Amino acid sequence: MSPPAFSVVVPLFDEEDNVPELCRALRAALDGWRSEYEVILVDDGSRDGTRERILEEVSRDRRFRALALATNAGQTAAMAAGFAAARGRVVVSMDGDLQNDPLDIPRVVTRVEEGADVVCGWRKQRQDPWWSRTLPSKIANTLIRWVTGVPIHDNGCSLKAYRREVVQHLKLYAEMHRFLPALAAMTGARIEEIVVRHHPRRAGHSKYGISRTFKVLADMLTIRMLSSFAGRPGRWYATLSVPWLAAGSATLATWLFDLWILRGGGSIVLPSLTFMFFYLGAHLLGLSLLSEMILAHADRTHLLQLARTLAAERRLDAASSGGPS
Amino acid sequence: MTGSAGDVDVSVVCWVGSDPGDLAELHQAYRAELAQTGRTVEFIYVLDGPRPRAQAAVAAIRDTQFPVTVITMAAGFGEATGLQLGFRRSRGKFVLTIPDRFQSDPAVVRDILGRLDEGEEVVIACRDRRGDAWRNRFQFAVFHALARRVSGRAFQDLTSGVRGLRREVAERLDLYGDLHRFIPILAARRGFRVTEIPVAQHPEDRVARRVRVGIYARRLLDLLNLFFLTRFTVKPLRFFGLIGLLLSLAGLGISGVLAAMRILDGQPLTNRPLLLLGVLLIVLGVQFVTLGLLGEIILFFSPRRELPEVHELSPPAAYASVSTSGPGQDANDLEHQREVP
Repeated sequence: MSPPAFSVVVPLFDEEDNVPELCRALRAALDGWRSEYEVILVDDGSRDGTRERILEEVSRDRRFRALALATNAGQTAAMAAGFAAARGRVVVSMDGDLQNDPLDIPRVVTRVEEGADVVCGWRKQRQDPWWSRTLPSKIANTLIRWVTGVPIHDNGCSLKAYRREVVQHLKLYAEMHRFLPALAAMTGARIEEIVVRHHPRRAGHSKYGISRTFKVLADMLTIRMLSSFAGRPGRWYATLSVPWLAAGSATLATWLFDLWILRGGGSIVLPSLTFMFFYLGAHLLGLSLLSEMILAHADRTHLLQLARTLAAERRLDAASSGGPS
Repeated sequence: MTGSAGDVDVSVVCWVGSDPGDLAELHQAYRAELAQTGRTVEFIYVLDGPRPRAQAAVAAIRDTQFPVTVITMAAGFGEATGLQLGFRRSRGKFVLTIPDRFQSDPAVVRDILGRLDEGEEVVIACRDRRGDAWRNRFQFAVFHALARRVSGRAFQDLTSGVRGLRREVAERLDLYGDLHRFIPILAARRGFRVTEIPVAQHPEDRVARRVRVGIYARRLLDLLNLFFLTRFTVKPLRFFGLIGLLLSLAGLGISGVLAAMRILDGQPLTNRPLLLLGVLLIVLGVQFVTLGLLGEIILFFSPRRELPEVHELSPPAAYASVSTSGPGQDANDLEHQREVP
C-alpha cells in the first residue's frame, strides 16, 4: 500500500456523539476530491463510548486508523501521537467537535503542496459565545502575534496543515500545539493563513474556558524566550540584564554623589534601589550563562534537522521552478 | 549485554542496601516459591556500592537451578538507580522486585505472577499493617496521606518492595533519585494498570525502626519532588511563574505604598525597614519567574518527552495487520486527570 497523500489527525476526548457525524463529514468532503488519504482518530483516554464509536468507523473504512492513549493526557499529547503515526506528506490537524469544516481540508492541503510549510486556519466568523470565548481568544491572539512576531490571527484554531517534516521534527509537549506556528517559524518555516468556516457546537460540550489566561500568558513568555535570538535565550537574558545594570549604576552614582559631595547620606532609598537593580542585573547575567550552558549540552538535533531540511528544499524549489510562485 | 528480552519468564531484581538482611535465606524463600510455578527465573542483585556487609550477604547466596547475577554499582546511587540498572540488565517477560529484607510473605509472588498473566501491568503487594508497631504505622500513615494529597492518587502501600511489572513497564519507568517509592504513581500516570493485592506482613518487618531525623526531611523533599513531578514538569513556568508573580506584586505593592507616602505625605523612609521587605519580595519574585523560564529551557531541549502509552487499535476482525496491540477497553477505569478549564 503506497503512503497516503495526506493524513488528517483528529484528537477526541469524550466526543461519542460527534464521531459518526465527523467521519461522515470527512468522507463527504474528501472522497470527491482525492481518495488516497488517511484519517487518524486519536482517543485521548475518553470515559464515554468514544473508543467504541472510533472502532466502528475503523472497521468500516480502511483509510481510517485509530490510536488510543492509555490515559487522558490532553489535546497536545493526542495530537503528538497522531503526528508521529501520520504517513502522509501533508499532515492536517482538526478538532473532533465538528466546529471545523472538513470542506476546508482540500484548501489547506493544497496550500502546503504549493510550497507553504504551515497553513493555519483563521476562524474569522467565530460561532462561539462572544464574551466567554471569542473576546479572550482575540486578546490572546493579539498578544501572541505581538510577542512571537508571527502574523497569525487565530492560533487557537485547530485546523492547520503542516508539511510532515515540520510536525515530526518539532516535538510537542504541554499545550504547545497552539504555538506550533511560532516554533516552526523559529526554524525558518514558511507560515501562511487562510480563512476557514466555523460552526457552532452541535453535540457534546466545550472543554475550554476563560480561566486559562494565566497559562496562556506563561506559555507565551516561554515561546518568546525560546524564539528570541533564534533559540538562544542566553542572549535574551543578557540583553534583559542591561537596563537593570544601567539603572543600578545610575542610582549608585546618585547615592555616592549625595554621600560624598552633598554630605547628605541619610536616606535608605538610594542604597535599596542600588542593591535591587544590581541584584537583578547580576541574576539575569548569571541566568544567561546558565542557559548557554544548558544549550551547549542540549539535544538540538530536531530543531537543526528541521531547519536544514527546510533550507535544503527551499534551494531546490528555487532551482527547479525559478523561485516560489 | 547477554541474551535478549523475553528469554526467561521472570527476572527478580533486588536492590541491596548497606545493611541487608540475611540474603541467603531471603533468596531461598523467594526461589522456593518461584520454583513451584515451573517458570524460568533469573535473579539480579544490585549492590549499592562496594559495601562489605552487602558483599558478604550476596556471597552467601547459592543457587543450583536459576542464574544469579550480581551487579555492584561503583558508588551508592540509591535504590531507584539500582532498580533501573537491574531492569536494564533483566531479560524476563515479567520483572519482579523484592526488598533486601523480609517485608511480607514470599508466597505473594505467585499471586503477583498470576495477576500479571491475567493482563495486569503493575501489581503491588500490599502489607496488612494490623500487627505492625505503632511507630511504623504512624510514619506510614502520614507519608501515605501526604502522597495521596500531593499526587491525587490513593495507593495503600507505596513502600512495599514486592512489585510485579510487565517488561514494557519496567522499560518505560525512568527511575532515579528516590523515585522508587512512587513507582505505582508514576506507572499509573503513564496509563498503566496498577493493582494492589493484600499480603501478610512479615514478623521482621513489624519491628519498630529507629529513623534519624534527617530521613524525615528527605521524605518531605521526596514528596515535594513528587508534587512538582506530577503537576508541573510539563510546565515549570506555570508553577514558578505564579509564585514569582504573587511575590513581585506584593513587593511592588509595599514599595508603591511607601513611595506614595514619601511623595504625597512627605513621610521619610529612612526609618522604614518595610522598604527592605518590598525590595526583597520584588527580587525574590523575579528570581522565581526566571527559575521557571530556566525549567522551560531545560524541558524544551530535553530529548525525553513524558507521553502516555499509545496503542494503535485494530478493528475487530477484517485486517489486523497494522496493529501492535489489542484494544484495551478496560483502560477506562483508570483515574483521569484533565486540566479543568
